[in-house]
Amino acid sequence: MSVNKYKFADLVRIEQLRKIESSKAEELSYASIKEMSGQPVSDFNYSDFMRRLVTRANLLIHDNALEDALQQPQKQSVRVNRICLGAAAILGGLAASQAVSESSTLNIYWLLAVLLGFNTISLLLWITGVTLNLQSLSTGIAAQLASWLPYRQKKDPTMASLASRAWWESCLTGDVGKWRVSVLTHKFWLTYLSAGMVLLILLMLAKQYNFIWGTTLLPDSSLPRLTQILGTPLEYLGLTIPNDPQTVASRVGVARQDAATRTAWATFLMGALLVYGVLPRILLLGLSMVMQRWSERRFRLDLYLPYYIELRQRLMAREVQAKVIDADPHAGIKPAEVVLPPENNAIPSNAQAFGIELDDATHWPETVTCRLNIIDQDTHDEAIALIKHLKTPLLLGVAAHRLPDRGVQRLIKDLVDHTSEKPWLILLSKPSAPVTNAREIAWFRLAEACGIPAEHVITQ
Amino acid sequence: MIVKNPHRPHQPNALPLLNIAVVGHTNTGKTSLIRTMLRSTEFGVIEDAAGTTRHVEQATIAADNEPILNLYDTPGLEDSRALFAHIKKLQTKLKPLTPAQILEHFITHVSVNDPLEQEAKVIRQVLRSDILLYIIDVREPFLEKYRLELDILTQSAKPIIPVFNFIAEHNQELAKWRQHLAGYHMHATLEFDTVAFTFEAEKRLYQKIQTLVESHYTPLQKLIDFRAKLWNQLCLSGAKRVTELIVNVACYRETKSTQHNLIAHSLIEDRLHDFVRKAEQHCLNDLLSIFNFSDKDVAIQKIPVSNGHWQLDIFAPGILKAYGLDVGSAAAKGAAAGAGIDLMVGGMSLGAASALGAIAGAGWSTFKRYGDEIKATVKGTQWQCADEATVQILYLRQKHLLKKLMHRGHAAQDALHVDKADSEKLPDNWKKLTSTLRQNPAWQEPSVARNNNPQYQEIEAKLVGALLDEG
Repeated sequence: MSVNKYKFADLVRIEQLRKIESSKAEELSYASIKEMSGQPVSDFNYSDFMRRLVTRANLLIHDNALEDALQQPQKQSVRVNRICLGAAAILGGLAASQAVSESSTLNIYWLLAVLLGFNTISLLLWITGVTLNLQSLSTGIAAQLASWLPYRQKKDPTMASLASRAWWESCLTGDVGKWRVSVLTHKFWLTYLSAGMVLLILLMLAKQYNFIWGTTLLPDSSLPRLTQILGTPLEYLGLTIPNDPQTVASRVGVARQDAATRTAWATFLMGALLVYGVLPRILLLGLSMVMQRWSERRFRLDLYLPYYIELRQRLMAREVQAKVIDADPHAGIKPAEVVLPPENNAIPSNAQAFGIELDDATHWPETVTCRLNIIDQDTHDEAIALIKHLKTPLLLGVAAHRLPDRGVQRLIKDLVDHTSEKPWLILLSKPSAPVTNAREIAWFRLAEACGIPAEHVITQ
Repeated sequence: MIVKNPHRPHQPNALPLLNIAVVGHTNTGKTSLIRTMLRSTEFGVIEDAAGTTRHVEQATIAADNEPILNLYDTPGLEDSRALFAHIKKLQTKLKPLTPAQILEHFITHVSVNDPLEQEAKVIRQVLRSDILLYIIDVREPFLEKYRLELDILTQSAKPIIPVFNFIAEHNQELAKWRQHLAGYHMHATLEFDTVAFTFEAEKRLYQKIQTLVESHYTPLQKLIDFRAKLWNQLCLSGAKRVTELIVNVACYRETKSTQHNLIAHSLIEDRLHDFVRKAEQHCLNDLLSIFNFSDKDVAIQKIPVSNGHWQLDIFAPGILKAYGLDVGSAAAKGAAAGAGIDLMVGGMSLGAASALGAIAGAGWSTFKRYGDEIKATVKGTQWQCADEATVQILYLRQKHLLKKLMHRGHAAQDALHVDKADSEKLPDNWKKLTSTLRQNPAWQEPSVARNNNPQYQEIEAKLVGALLDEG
């Protein structure tokens, strides 16, 4: 396994830079980036590319003093976090103190409803949202805001606004956003519950309360039953919960309450808050934090974006590992310059024509008859025998579009050497194969090498 | 933990790299083949002349930074008749030697100024290699010199894979060559056009090598898989890039006042044109770099592009017709124009996205999403966006370019003629796709929210699929 050197924070910074560079590239200084040589690699490698991206981002941030602007959204989010938690603490405290009225009685189910009820509703909503993967439920208002935010682009964005938009997008949307907001939600309710509990403990330490319960709509037996049901897990934990007589004794209107009953109720209250409120929240907070880590780790840049495609080319230039292992001893020697003479179409009279490796599709001018087409050693020998006794000019026909290689050159030189007459070369062309200028020059070069003067080369 | 060193030396007890010599007559496309296999325009020199490559050059092909095989580019065999005669002479002189030993004798005794020095280089590399790729220009007739080349190469006792090059539009010649090679018991031939490249052909090449060199089966399979993965990624990158462009342009909108102010109107038009041109240009450059081509390649390609700029401006008159689009459309006046969006159709019909929001504050989010539209209706402003024809041409042009790039070997020299651009088709439901895009200006820029949107994902998948569909 390779080392995971880049962190989520690095990726967020890269994303922030992407946003900034996409619209403000001309305002940035790229001085030190230029020196960043794109060390070539043979195959693309994700982590290597990330490493280079991070290095590039750090250089760019340092050069342009972007650190503060990029950090800003993170700092703001920490601040918002604190404000939320502060508000939760105050709310929790208020809720508890509201439930505990001025009198010396504590309405046990009202207190549970205030502290645990809202918490449970929000918990259920969160669970539905996460299991059904409903963005708007699981992350609530923040996701809504985030998905709407990109649309509200300012006409003239600043570096800071671009940076914070990118931060929002990568940290508050998608999977990362879901779990990040979840963490905040759980922290909020945890603080709410803790504040309520702490206040209750303080109150119960300093004052003596009688615990009461009552109901208007429900049958009288329902709340004692509920106490039993809620209390069962607490008993397993070794806590004493109010027994039946104690419960009956606490009905509204029954005046006297002994210390044991009070303690039992207090234990029940604290136990219920812990087991049904704080504990699930702590567990879910842990889960959300783990999930946030995990989704941050799984966070990948969308390398298909044009921005990254461009950077990928710049930072990860591909290199082909090639080396010459058997060098050319004549390297650097340029072929002789050839001057093309004016076009020559006149075919010498009574010339004896021989073809060099011609195919069926190549045709001679009508006035010329080809005596022999040289295609192999036998026809070559036959041609030499004929040429030796030649009394008229020798006309050699080649297919102009074909390549004059050394083999062809040796063949033509051999033929020319065996005649005492003037040799001519005709470049035969066919309409299906156009002849480039370079190819024609190559034939002239061959003619020269074989002792055929340029004015004896006939082009068609 | 240990970071994998990409350039780690080959372990001593590991299988030695497979050595593949690329041989053939001069100018048949040996260097071209290697360039295409390397996906690099930088390897060697390619010219339409004899003896362009005059040395032996080695290039290594790796799978995920693990070297798999070495390719050797060799000079062309130019004078096989002389070579054959020379070897014949050696044979009679050194009777007891095997054919391969005779070749060995030839290369050790050749002088630097020998006319057969270049051929000796080829033979030297042939004897050092495990397998030979014999490149054939099928446009050439099957002459004695090619027969002799095969004779000489066969003497080396190495497996030979004949590779037919320049096969596009030369089916008859190809058939003839096949026939002749069958006479040499060479049936395991391969069609690999270095100009009209297909990934399938490359894959088949490696598979052929696999069957001939069993000992390297596993590394070769790794290479094939790696190459296939890479190729798919490459095509997907290209298609995604084009999709990004289409989305970028289709989602673009420009506020315009409904009052008939001609100057302001033409300014908006200019801005719109400018935006579309720039976006297309950017996409073009990205596509070229994705496929590792340079501007130069496109110029050769005969796509109407030069110096990385489209020669034919997207708003040039006549371009609609070239892409087989309806000339009778509103844009046919010459310059394709922007179209105003009808708000009643535009804004509200596609509010499906806010269905989720209904659970948690639908009203609020709907207002935020369509707030601008509602405000605009009240204020009497309108939007200008790229019109249907513009987006269509954009799509067709890019699809065309993408296809060309996917089938361009990294050695292509001959100009490909691509006049029939009207063969490209728009995807099904095109109208629906573009109108959905128009309703979602927020999608213009990439964002996590956009990419997670199921509606967007569907559109992207459709466009990518249509771009890669070659049917």
